[in-house]
This record gives sequence, C-alpha cells and structure tokens, in this order.
Amino acid sequence: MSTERIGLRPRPAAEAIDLGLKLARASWPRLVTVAALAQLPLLALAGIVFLWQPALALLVLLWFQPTVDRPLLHILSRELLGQRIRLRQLIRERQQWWTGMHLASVSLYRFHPARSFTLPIWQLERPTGSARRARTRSLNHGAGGGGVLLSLMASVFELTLIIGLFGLFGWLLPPSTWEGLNAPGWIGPGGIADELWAALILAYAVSAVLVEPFYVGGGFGLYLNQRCRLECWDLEPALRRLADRAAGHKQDQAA
Amino acid sequence: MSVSLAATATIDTRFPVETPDGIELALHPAGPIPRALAWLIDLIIRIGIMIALGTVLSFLGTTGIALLILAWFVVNWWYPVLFEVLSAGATPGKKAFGLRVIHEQGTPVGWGPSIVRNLLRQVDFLPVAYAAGLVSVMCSQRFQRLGDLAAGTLVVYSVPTKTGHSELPEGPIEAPPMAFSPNEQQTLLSFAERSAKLNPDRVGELANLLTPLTGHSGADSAERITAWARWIQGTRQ
Repeated sequence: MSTERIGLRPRPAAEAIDLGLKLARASWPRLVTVAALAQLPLLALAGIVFLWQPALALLVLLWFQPTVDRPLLHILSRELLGQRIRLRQLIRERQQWWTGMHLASVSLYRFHPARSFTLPIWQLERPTGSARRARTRSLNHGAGGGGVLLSLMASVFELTLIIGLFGLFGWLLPPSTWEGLNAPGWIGPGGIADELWAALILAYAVSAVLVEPFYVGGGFGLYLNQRCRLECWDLEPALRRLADRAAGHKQDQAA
Repeated sequence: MSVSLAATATIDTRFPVETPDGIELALHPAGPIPRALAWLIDLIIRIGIMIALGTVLSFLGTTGIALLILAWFVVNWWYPVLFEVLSAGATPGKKAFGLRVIHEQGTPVGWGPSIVRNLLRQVDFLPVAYAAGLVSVMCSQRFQRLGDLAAGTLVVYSVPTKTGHSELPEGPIEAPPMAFSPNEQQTLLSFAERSAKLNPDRVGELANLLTPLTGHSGADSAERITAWARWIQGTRQ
C-alpha cells in the first residue's frame, strides 16, 4: 500500500486528528459536494416527516448522518492511495461503502462515542463478530479517548455554525422579518413555531455538510495514526522497497 | 476514472521554518480542537477571577462596581496578551493542552503581534461564538484564525516531537550485508526502536519482508535487523 500522499509517523492523538483534518481539507470541494448531495434524500425524508411532526424531522436528519459519512470515508481512503475518485465511480462502487455495519451504525451504534474513529474498521477492514470486537479493542489501545473528544468537538463546532448562521441572518434580514417573533409567539406556551423548526433544520443541514467531512477526516487520521503506533504501518512501504532493492542487489552480485 | 495525485505535495502536520539565526525548526501548528478547549479553560479562569473580584469589590458599593468594570476590561483584554508575552507564549488554558503562540518564523511572540491577534478576536468571534475563526482556521494552511493571519502568529504544539534516537536494547552488533542509503538506515533504526513496543506477531510479519536479506524468518529475522541497526547507530555516533 502506497502512503506517499501523507506524512505518516506516530503522532500524539491531537496531532493525528489535525492530520486527518488536513487530508479532508486537501479535497474539501469534492467532500462537501458529496456531503451536500447525500444530505438531499435525507432532507426529502425530513420534509415528509415535517408535515406531520416538525421536531421529529430534525431528529430524522440528525439520526441518519452516519450514512452521509460513508461515501466521504470512501473518497478519503482512495485519496490516501493517491486516487481522485469521480462521482460516477463513487456510485458504481457503492457496495464498498454502503455495507459494513451500516444498519448497526444507524441503530444500535448510532451514538457510538467514537463513531468516526471506528468507521474505518467497520467500512474498510470489515471484520465480523468477535473478530470485529477484538480488532476495535486492540486498535483503541492507547488512543487516549481521541475519538470521543473528536465526536464531542464536532458537535460543538456544528452548534457553533448553527448559532453563527442564525446570528448572521439575524443581522442581514430586515427587522420586519422578526416582528412576527413577538406577535404569534415563535417560542411560547404553544411550543416552537414551524418556521423556526424549518430554519433550524436547514441550518443543521448546512452545518452538517461543512462539519461531517472533517469529522470523518479527523477520525480517519486517528485510525491511521493508531495503525502507525501499534503496527508500524508507516514503515511497511519503506521495508518493502528495501527488500526489492536487496533482491536486485543480489541479482547484480550473482551476475 | 480515477486521476493520479502523485504530483501533489505530501500532506503533513509539520512545517519546516528557518529562524532568523539560521536554525531549521519543525513547527507543528495546532488544529481547532485543542485550541477551542484551551479557550474554554481560559474562559472559565477569567470568569473565576471576575467572580472573586466581584465578591471582594461588592463591599465598596458603587465605587466597587466602577472598579469591577475596569477590572473586566483588564481581564478580558490583557489576560491573553500578558500570558502570551510573559509566560512563554501560553495562557493557562494553552499550557494545559501543550500549546503556545509564536511568530510564523518560530520566534517567541512579542507585544505587538500578541495585541493584534487578541484584538482581532472580536472579528474571529463574528457573527457569534467564533464561527468566523473556525472557518478561517480550517481554510488556512497552518490553522491560523484571522487574528493570527493579521499578526503573523501561529499556535503550535510546544512539545517538540522526539528527534534524537532512544537507546536500542543491548545485544549483538553486526555489519549489514550491503550499503544502505540514509533513508533506509533511518527505516531500519526506526523499526529496531519501535519493535520493542510492538506486538511480537506483527514484528515477525514486518521482519519477514526482509527475509531475502536476513536469511531468517520471524523473530530471528527481527533480531538480525536489530543487530544491523546497532551497527548503524554505532557508525553515526
């Protein structure tokens, strides 16, 4: 496996996340586009639920974010190998990212605290049953809770962007837009107005489109780092090259 | 079809700089997560200071309130600047996460840049809760918020990654069968050093890659590579 694309070596957990963020950053237009496209069917589903129960629509959108993460990780894993994958190819290779603990990730493991760190094991390595649990445990060794911290901070940053969007529109929209806020009571004894729910859902969708690529990237960075720390994965290509050269060297001597 | 990215630069978290006195340094700029957490700790400390001051100054009536407002100004604006310049580039929050502020050239941060980067916090804070700063940090190559870009400063991990080599365990020393390039020597040294902490199965697996060279397999092969590494280390000293 070639890993020329990124500088791998054992790092502290925080710096490993940074490496993943930079990997995501290097192909952010493609990741954000895919994240936005993947958001569309979820928004459609949320829209249908919205007619019935606005609060539930937000929950639906939030609940299925692990599905959005999958094509993003697929792109990143190819990027690591130095391959830039096109949208058509991504769809053709859907079997590779759609399966692998997908159902579990949106049900039993929806609130797995280190979701994006564990996703590469589920989706790229695909061990099953007890082998999967053993693999997850061993790769977690000495990770220092980096994956959990990443999940926590990704939520904080999503919230930052949601509040930021609300703040921005609060400034930019003419004050008359907000006059209705007092009259029928957007937030009041009657609960939260539908308009506010809709705004919240859209703001969440925007922030998720921007944050998920980096959340997945950070988790992938941690995963790669654990493989370097625990398996000397970063030395493997160099050792292979050395073996190849040694083979050539021997042939030269024989000749 | 997929496009090869071989020509693009390697992605790394390490940035080499040359200091004014001609020394090569590797800087490790810190990403948004430790920085946000450090900010949170500093916020808690500042609130703590204000509560303590408020309790004391409340005995002074209206004068106390006036003093408290002045104190808020000092604590809010000068807390980060004073710590960054006088305490090796780190506020208590940054220190807790092993971060410090430096100039882009790797030198300790001075008064001017520190004041600029902390004044511009107000811009990074826009529209609310540091959304602009977050976007800027993610857009810039070295995780700089707008204040950092204006002041020419970086927030880096202060713990330098180990550059020297740890001691290899005692054992036989053997000259390698062929001449290795500096990169290859480095690989063998890293392997010998890190294999001590590795799962033995994995050590064997990696050592098997060099079986054609060592003439052994598994642990014996690893033992032979370590003997060469000792020899390489000996020639370097």
